[in-house]
Amino acid sequence: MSVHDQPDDGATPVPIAAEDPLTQRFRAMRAATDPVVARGIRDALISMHLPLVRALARRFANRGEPVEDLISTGTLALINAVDRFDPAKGTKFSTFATPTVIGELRRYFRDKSWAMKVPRRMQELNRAANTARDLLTQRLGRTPSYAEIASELSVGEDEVIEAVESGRGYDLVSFESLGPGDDGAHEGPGEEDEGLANIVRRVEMDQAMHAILDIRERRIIELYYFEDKSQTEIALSEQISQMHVSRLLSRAKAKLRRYLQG
Amino acid sequence: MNASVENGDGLRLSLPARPEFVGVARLTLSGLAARLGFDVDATEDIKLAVAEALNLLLRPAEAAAQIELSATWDEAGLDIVLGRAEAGLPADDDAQIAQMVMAEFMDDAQLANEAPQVRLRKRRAGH
Repeated sequence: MSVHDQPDDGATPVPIAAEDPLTQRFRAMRAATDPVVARGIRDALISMHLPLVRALARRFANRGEPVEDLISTGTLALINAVDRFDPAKGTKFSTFATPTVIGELRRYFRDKSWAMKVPRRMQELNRAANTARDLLTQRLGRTPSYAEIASELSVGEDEVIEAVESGRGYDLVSFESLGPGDDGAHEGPGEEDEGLANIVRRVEMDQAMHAILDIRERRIIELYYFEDKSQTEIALSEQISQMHVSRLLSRAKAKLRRYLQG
Repeated sequence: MNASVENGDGLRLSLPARPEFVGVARLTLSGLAARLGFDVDATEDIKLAVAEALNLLLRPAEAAAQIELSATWDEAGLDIVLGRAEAGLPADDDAQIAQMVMAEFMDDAQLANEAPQVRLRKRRAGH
């Protein structure tokens, strides 16, 4: 049976005697002339369906948004469903409320442009996983498991596997395409690497950065290319001159070029 | 890179009926959906529905059972069938919520108790 094949024509009200207690409560709420009584029944109906909201919110819990926010969003949808539900149509309340709550949760992610952010989040997680792998290798004296990397990053193990796999699947990614917008701070001696841009895979770049650059060079490359910082911003955060940032970038890119071109 | 559509293409997976293998199925299906050109939203929908179906099929606690998953696809969409020979599908409130969730996330979600099987279909954009 398709799940959506629920009676919903509203043509035949269910006799009172055959009604379940929940439907009776909805009828009582609609029939109540005393607003305090109606409010009390409404609150009780909302409370008794909060577990449904939590169960549905949990299904979206691995998308990087706080579960509390998802539960709040779902609860608002539940309240809306309680207010709109018509017991005369013969549909179970959970059948009516579930699509409403799921619809609202999906809208929540759509409003946050979640799908557009996923590739970026995967890239960030891919980089974080590489960094955590290096740290844990040093700390443990062996290669860590995915579970250990996930624990280090406080994310799910499957997320780490997916991020690492997505990293392997990157098409040729331009080094410069990951860089900041045109903020006027790009001038300087580090701008001659167009040839490099088209031959480097991101994953190879991560590996190369860890193999060949010192900590400061790596940090500056990461800030400039992957966190969209301008040379001026990096100069401020590193407490060095913009010219020095430019020289460090230039030197790091030259090292990477030599390393990657063998 | 998107996988080309060839007649008879398909994917089969036989998984131990234990919760720790739900993630294996999710990852497999997300890799397949991405290669078939489904976007991020649709891929997440497929993963969520497959996890839901597996959780339903895992509920009967018989040991040493296998869950069989097969996926086939064409220009119009992706069909996934999940089944477990040894046990029926549960029919309580949680199971009903699971059914509704699958129906919300897929274009078609059918339960066949006689098999028992969960059949899911996701259409490609524009179909």
